[in-house]
Amino acid sequence: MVIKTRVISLPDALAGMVLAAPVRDSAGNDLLAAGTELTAALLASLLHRGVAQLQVAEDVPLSAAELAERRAAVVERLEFLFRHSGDDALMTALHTAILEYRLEGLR
Amino acid sequence: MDRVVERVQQLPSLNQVVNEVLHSFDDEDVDIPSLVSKISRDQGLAARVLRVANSAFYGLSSHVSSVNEAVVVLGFYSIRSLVVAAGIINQFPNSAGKTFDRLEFWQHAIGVGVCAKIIAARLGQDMETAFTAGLLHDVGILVLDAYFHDEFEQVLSCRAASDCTIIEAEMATLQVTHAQIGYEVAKRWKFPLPIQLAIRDHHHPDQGAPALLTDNVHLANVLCHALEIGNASYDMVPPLSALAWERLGLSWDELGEMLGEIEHLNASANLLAMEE
Repeated sequence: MVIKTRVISLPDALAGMVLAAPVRDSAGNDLLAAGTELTAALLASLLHRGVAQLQVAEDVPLSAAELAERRAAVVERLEFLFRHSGDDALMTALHTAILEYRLEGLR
Repeated sequence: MDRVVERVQQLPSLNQVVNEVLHSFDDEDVDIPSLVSKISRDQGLAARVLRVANSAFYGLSSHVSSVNEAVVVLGFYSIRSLVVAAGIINQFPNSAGKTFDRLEFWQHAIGVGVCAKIIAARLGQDMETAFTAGLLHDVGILVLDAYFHDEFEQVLSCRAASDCTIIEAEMATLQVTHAQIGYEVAKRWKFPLPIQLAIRDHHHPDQGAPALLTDNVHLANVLCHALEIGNASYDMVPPLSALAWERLGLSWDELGEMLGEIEHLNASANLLAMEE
């Protein structure tokens, strides 16, 4: 799970890395949003635009306690978002599907 | 409602080229070269289209410098929804209010567009029509914010006080909803009929005649609330219609697979909003 970021120079960037901060050109225009997964085409495009550095997310394993804390936060947030769904069967199934998706990366 | 309809009738006409592009969704024999040439001649529109085409959303490896080139690289059908997006995003004046965040609004709208496109791909529906319908589903909210600002502030206050959805707050406060207003806008600008109906019924797909595009946009809207993509003025998942879900015929496993695709594509699509 992502908990750290680091700044790397463009030649060190690889497809599959995820941006931790937006990339901007020299005029301050946003080129890529935080969260974007880099592809070979995007890297070529950044080179073309003269971008020198990127801030990327770094995968660091979480401790069991940290994982449990994150899972609890996901459960709590989804309970809040679905607070008016009551015992509607369809909404319960949707709630479960979203919860499973959110917890996938926290096992 | 009469006041709203009157105001909608006074909206400036949609850019002629954007209008023609919208109509081409209904036209299987569309004259692509002629339409591309018209887009190219509208310099403001062409510039916006190129800015978005060159953004990360399309992940192009090289810069495109003309609408013709963009059509060659991305295909006419992608450019068509992009032209509609670029043409409509700038159509409403900004309001002075601080309660309503336009950037969050567009992020939600784009998220619903992306989500509708992914649902359409899964169901074999037209993906670009779905993207456009999703993008425009809340256009009525822009009318409220831009032209009925004080009333809209009351709606937002009522929503916060009652912890309800925006459509419930609109009914309680104004007796008219953004979906009805959006439908009036869609009629005024002569959007293709399936898009008009998707805008009108996106919260209540059970009310009109069954329509797959409406069901799609309804589900896309619910999913974007559940995934918290943008913010349509409330942190809450609105009810999913059992009839719409049944008609779409998706399984929960398929839905699970689509959630990752939606978030992935949306991360770069957000730039559409930032570009403006």
